[in-house]
Amino acid sequence: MSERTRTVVKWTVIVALVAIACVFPYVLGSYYVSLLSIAFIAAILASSINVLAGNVGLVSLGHAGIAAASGYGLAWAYRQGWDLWGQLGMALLMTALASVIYGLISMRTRGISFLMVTLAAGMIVYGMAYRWSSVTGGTNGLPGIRRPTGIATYWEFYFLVLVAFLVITVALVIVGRSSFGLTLKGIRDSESRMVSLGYNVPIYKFGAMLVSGAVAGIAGVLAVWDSEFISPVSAGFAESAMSMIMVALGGIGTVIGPLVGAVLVVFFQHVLSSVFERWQTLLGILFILSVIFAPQGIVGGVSDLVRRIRRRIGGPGPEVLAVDFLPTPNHRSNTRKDKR
Amino acid sequence: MIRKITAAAGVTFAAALALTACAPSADLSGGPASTDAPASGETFRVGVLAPMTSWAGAIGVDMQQGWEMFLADQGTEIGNFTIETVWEDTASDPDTALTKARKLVEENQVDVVIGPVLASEGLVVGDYLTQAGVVNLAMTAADDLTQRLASPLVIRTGSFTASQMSFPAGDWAAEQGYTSAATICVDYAFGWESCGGFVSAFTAAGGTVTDQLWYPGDASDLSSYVSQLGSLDVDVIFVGSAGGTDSSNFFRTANDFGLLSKTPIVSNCCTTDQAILEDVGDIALGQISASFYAEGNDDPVVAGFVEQYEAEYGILPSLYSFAVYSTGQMLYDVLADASTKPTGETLADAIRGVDLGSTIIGSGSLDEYGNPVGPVFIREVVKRADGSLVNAVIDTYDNVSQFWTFDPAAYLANPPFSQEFQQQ
Repeated sequence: MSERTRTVVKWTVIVALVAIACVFPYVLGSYYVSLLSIAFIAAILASSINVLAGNVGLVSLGHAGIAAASGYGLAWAYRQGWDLWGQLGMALLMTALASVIYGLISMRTRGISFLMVTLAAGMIVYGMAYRWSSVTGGTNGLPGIRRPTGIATYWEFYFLVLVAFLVITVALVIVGRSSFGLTLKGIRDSESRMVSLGYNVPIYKFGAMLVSGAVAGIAGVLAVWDSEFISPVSAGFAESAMSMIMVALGGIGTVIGPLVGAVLVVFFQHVLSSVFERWQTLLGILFILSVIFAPQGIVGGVSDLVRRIRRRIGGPGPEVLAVDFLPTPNHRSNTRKDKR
Repeated sequence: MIRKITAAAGVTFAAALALTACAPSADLSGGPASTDAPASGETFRVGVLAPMTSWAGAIGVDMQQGWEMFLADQGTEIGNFTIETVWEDTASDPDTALTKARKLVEENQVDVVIGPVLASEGLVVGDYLTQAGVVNLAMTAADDLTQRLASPLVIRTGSFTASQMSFPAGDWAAEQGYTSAATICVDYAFGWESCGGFVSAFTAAGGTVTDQLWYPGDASDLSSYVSQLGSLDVDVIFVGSAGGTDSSNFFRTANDFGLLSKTPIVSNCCTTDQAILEDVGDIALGQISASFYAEGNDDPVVAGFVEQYEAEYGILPSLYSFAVYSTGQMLYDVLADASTKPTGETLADAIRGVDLGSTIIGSGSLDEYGNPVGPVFIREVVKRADGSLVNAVIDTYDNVSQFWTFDPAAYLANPPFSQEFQQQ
C-alpha cells in the first residue's frame, strides 16, 4: 500500500466518522443526542488535559477548576443581564485568569508535584465556588442560565459542540506539530537536555498551560450551556479525576483517545447506571484492565494490536486509528532518561 | 488485498466505536414503545429521581421502600389510571440528576417527576422540568425552590423548606423563657436556612442571638466549636446540622465536654434523625428538635404508618420514606377523580388544591408557591417500650407557612439566608 493510499484511507475514516456524527441528530432521540453533546464536551475537557499529558508529559488533576472558572464567569455575567459578548468576555477573562494562576504555580514543577499543584489549584476554585455564595450561589449553584438563540434547541447545540470539538482537535494537532509543540515534546523526553540547549523550560510549560486552559475554558462554557446551570460540583475533584480517567482510558497523547474515553465514561455514567447500580465498580474494573493490558489506553492498545497484526502479515502498517501528535509514536518508552 | 481488508476492518471498528454510545442504549432504556400498556386504564408514568449511590445513597433506599409500601397499600390502579414507576439514580450529583431528568422526560415520557432530594439537584431539575412542561413533585428543602425561583410546575410535596422547620424552634425556645441564644450550623445553604429560620423567629419573639458559629460540611472534629459554645453564657443553643456524621459528632463531643448537661439544645429537623439516634444512643435522650415528621407521633395515622413500615422492613421509617409516601398520597388524591390524564399545569393546579389532611402529613394545604403550609412538630427524643429511641411530639405548630408570620412580599424582597443575612 503506497503512502497515497494510506492517506486516502486515513481521510476516508475521518470523513466517515464526521459524517456519522452529523447523522446522529436525525436518527436518535433528543435524549441520546444530548448525551452525545455531554460526551463531546467531556472529550473537549479531556483534550485539554491530553494536550499537556501527551505533549509535555504533565498530568493535571485540577483542570475541572479552569473549566468551572470559565463556566462561573459566563453564568454570573448571564445573571447580571449582560449580553452574549459580555458573557463570553467574562468567561474568557476568568479562563485567562485561572490559566495564568495555574501556569504560574505549576511552571517549575513536573511529575507528581505538578499533579499535586494542579490538584490544589482545582480545590481552591472549588472552595471559592462553595464558600463565596453571594457570587456563586454556594452549594445551590447558579440555575436558570439560558443558551443564546441559534443554539437553543438540543440539535443546534449538538452541532455547535461537534464543530467545537473538531476545530479544537485539529487545532491541537497543529499545535502539537508546530515548533512550539516539538519543543514541548523535547521537554517531555528530556527536560535537562532542553535546559542545556538553552530553552526556557518554565516559559514553555506556562505556554502549554495557557493553550490547555483555553481549551478547558471552552469546555466550561459549553458545559454551562448544556446543563443551563453550574454548581461547585463542576469544579470538584471527582470531575477533574474523571476527565483524567477519560484521557488515560482512551489513550494519552492520541488524538481520538479523549473522545473514546469520554464516550465510554458518559455511557457508564448515564446509560449503564440506569440498569446497573454498581456502574462505578465496572468502570473501575475496566480502568484496571486497561492499565494492565493496554497501558497506552484503548486507542494506543488497539493501534498497537493493529500494528502487530500487520507486522505478522508482512510490512509495517500505517497508523489509522491513532493519529498521533507525533509523526512517529514513541510515547512513554524513552521518557525521563535524564532522571537516571 | 489483505491490507485493504484490515483497513476496511479498521473503518468498521472505528464506526462501531463511534456507535457504542447509542447502539446498546436503545435496548437498555426500555422506552415507551417497549413497555406493555395494560389492557384497562391509561398508563400514568411516574419518574423518581433518588440518590441511590454515592454519599447520599441511603436516602435512595429509604425512598424506594417508602414508595414500595405506598404502592402495596394503595395498588397501582387508581381511578382510570395504571401507575408505572421508573427509578433513576442521581448519584448525589446535580449534573447526573439533570441528565436523568432528561431521560425520564424524553425517553420514558413520564407524566410527573418525584424528587430529587438534594438541594442543588432540586433547583436544576426543577428548572429543566419547568421548561419541559412536566410537573415536579420536589423533595428538597432548598428555600428558594418555592420562593425566589418558584415555578408553576414545581410543588414541594415531599419536604418543608429548611427555614420553615426551624421558625417554630425559635418561637418555642422564646416561649420557654430563654432570652439569649447561640447557634451552630453547617456552613452551606441548608445550614444558613436552618439557622436563619431560628434566628428570625427567636428574635421576632423578643430573644437575642449573641453568637453564630459555622462549621464546614466536611469537618470531622467539632471539638473547637463545642468548647467555644461551652464558654458562652447563653440560655439555649440552636444546632442546624446536615443530619449526617456531623450531628453524631456534635452529640458525642458535646457529651464529652459536658455541654449537653450545661445548656439546653434545640436542633433542626435532621440533627436527631433516626440514623443519628441509632448511632449515638442514649446520649441523645431528651434532645429537642423541630420537623414536619416525627416517628414517635402518637397520631393514629402516623403511628399506623410507622408500625406497618417497621413490620415490613424491620427499621423505623426515615423522613424520606415518609415524604415519598405523602407525595404518593397527594398524587393519588388527584388521579382518583380525574377523568382524563392530567399533565402540566392542570396537574400542578390540581395538586396545589389537595387537602393535606387526607395525607399522613396530617393537616394543612399547599400555598400558591407550591409549598406546604402544615404542622411542624417540636419533638423530644424518648425511649420506647422496646428500648429504641424515637422523636416524640411534645408541641405542635399548625399551619406553619414558609414565610412564618412575615409578609411574603417583603420576605421575597430580602436576599436568601446566608451567613450575612440571618434575620427577616
